[in-house]
Amino acid sequence: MHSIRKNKFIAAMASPKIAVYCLLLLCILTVCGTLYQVSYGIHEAKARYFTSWYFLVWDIVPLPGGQSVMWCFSINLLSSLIYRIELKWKKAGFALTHLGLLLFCFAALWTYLFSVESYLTLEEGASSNVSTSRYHWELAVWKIENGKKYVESQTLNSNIGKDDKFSFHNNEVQFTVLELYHNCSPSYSKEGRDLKNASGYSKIIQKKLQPDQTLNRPGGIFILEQNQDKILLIGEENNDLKLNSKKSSYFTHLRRKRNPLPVTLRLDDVNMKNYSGTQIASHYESRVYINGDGMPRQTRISMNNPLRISDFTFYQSGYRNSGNSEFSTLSVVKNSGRLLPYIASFIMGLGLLVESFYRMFKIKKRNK
Amino acid sequence: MTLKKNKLVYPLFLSLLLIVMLNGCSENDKQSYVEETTPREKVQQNKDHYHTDNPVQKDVHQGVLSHKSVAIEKPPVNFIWELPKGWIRINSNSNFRIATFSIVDLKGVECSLYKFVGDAGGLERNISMWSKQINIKSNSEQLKEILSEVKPFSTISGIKGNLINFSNWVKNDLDANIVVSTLAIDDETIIVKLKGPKKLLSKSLTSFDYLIKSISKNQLK
Repeated sequence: MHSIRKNKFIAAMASPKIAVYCLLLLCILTVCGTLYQVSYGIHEAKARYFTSWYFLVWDIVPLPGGQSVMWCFSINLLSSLIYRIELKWKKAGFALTHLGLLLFCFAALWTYLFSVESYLTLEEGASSNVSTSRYHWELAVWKIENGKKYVESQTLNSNIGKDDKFSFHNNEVQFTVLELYHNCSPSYSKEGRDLKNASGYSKIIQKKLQPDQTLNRPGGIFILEQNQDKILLIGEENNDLKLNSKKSSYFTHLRRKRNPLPVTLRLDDVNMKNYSGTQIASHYESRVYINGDGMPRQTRISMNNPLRISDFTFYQSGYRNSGNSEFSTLSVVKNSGRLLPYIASFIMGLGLLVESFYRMFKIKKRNK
Repeated sequence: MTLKKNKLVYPLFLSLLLIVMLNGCSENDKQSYVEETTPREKVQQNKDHYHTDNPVQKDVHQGVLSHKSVAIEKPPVNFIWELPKGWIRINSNSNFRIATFSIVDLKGVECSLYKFVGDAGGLERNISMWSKQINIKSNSEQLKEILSEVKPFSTISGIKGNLINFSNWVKNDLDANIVVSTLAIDDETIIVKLKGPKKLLSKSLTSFDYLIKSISKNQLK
């Protein structure tokens, strides 16, 4: 243990100055991010200031991003825990406070790595039990039996390439990748007439990958192993392609990844209120009917009043009126570690309480 | 009493890392589930308008166009539209033609809805092609004149489009005329073409205007 304490790196990293600078930088990042999201939206602000390693001020001056600062702060806390704090009962308050802070950083890392963000747009009267990913795509194959849509899907990761094979529905549908592009556009050509496509496309034109992932549209040519048909699929194509199998009919579509929800949500009503005399929204509210978890119920989701069901949180994030009908968009976040910040707060609070009581006890003892 | 540090810090840190790694391993790229997505159903509420899938039974008030609409289409495409009253959809099998409509009271008038990738060849080239379809011999001067008559418009949902009416270049009332609107949605161009005798076409312009202005992106797709 003494050898660890003598380690110069740990000693340097345990410096309280680092913690102060990190906290200062986090304050600056929070202010910058808050101001930036007003003009560019929450996702852009998050990407620029909070999940980035660094960002450029006026496109020239590099400053550390949220991820760098948080890693630095975590290492500093861990080093302090090892180097500075003596684990004696009289130092328990300090240790708990630092442990709570460290757990906060761990919660942030957990959320960054494992939380899944998606959205759910519903027209009034429509219902769904799946949300849609903004960034990820999937190759979905489904069959309809007794009015139910049984879906199996494969996420299109960047490591998928030529000759990769996917099988669905107990190998009744098997695909082999012939060509796969993560950004492309559809077109027509006489040469591609042997390719099967539901919308009549016969050619794929590869395009440069966009830094904004929402702008990329994947596409590919696949071989259906059952009959060696060549199939052309383009992301979010208008039509589903029907595949005939010996047992039943299947449909396929290259689409934005769907995330199954624990309940089915039906949008019964959506309201928007503007600031008087302006077209600026002051309040959105969705009235939804929840079914599927054994407790059918109606509830309201508004801008600062999200709906929480197990690991899922539904935030009101958008409203659209197409003239004849109204649509509501909910941001859906699945975060299995959503309780971690509460546990961290509890540990930190407990640490501060223990420390306060200890100091009070010490002062009283000294006065006596 | 002193707690032994090495008995606490390292197991704690390692167990947290292990949890992260285990959670990472459970990430599955393949998933199977039962999808229950249903389009809108009638909801009892005090609204001044709503859609219906039944073209016969419902009259729906349209506040914006003071027009009676009867149906909302469910096309397998990324946009939706509303049919004016008296318009019927006819089956059409074509890669480009999404739908064809005929008008009950106006025999000989047909409306087609097309979808193309990109700008569909450009407005100038298309105007030249449409001119030929109704036997207007358009030289470059006349083409410029037709282009200057192109009227920009906006659908109710805010999609920008252009409207071209060739009636000024069609001499006789019984000669064929074309009214076309082009709309850009994402990286595709939607073309709505109304074709028929000049006299009959002028009677269906309000309904045509209603149809093109009702086009909006399908958010449920």
